[in-house]
Amino acid sequence: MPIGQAKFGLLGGIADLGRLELIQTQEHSGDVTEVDFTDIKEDIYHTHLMTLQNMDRGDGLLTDYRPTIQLFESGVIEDGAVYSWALRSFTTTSLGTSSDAGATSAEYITGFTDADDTSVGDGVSNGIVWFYDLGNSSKPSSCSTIQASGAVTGVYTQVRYGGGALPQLSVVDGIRVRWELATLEFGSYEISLYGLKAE
Amino acid sequence: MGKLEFIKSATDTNVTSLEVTDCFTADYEVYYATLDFVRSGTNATQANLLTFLDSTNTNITANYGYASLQQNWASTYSERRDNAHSDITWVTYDNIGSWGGWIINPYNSAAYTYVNSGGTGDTYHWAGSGTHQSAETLKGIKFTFNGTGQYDSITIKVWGVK
Repeated sequence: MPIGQAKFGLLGGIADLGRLELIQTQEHSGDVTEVDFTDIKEDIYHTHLMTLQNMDRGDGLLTDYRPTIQLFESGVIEDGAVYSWALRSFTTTSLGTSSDAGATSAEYITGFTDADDTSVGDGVSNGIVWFYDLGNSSKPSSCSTIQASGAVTGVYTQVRYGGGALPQLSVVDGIRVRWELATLEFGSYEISLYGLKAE
Repeated sequence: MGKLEFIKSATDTNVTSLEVTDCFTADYEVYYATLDFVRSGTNATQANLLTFLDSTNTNITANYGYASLQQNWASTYSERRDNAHSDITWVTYDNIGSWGGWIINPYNSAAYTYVNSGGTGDTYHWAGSGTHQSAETLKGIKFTFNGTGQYDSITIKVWGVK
């Protein structure tokens, strides 16, 4: 279970955010393997925005790994090989790798940048994700990501555009952020989830 | 941090296009819009065509440029671009999808209008930018389906960034 500090944006305290309403912020207070958002108010919002800041691992190693997304259905994490995703990666110098990647029947969605580079050095992963149709049982749940990473600090910046989907038709009522290798821990993170209200 | 304020939406069923009139005003410079659709027909090269409405809410069909990237989950990507087009073309093979985009300067009669966006379906993600390359006041947005079939359902929503 996540043990990160949590700050909730309750409906009575969000007037200063207009129609982009803060649902919850979670930030690092101890190393964890996953950060779960389990009260996403999918019955209210068609569109959610997630911001991710200073995503890094706690092991201090420089192996290339990126954050990923999994979704909850009826309170149960969907961790089967059911997700699809795609991303284009490019960097600000020739030191990084520019490439396309994608998968179907995957265990997660990822459009994120690596936090580190094995051969060059340490960095962090930052970015935003727009989620669509999480609460709509007649459409796939999907997301669009734009990631600009600090990786590798002082050497180059990595950028990725991408997205993904949970193709099966279901109501999604939670979001999990974890590393692509599930046993890895977050050594730092600040993740906020907003709902985009339209009325 | 400013506010993202809901302005207006439109929804319809069994149509080939939908527009939102009078959603751009002097109150905002930057907008966020979403498209939510389910359409019929075969999954083929079928596009959602974005156009803007002028100061009389008349559809504009000239002076657009765009560059977009289709990202298939499981195969080669495709880039599309044109600098003198009749619309901003978001191509997707998916019959079910959602799109979100930032729209900059639409009401400013002295500036071009820019769009930065991303969208998803069940087999594709598509990302891209577009421009309306004419400095004029725009008051609305329109999406048109150019494939064989129609939108079984379509919703457009517009927010302003305060």
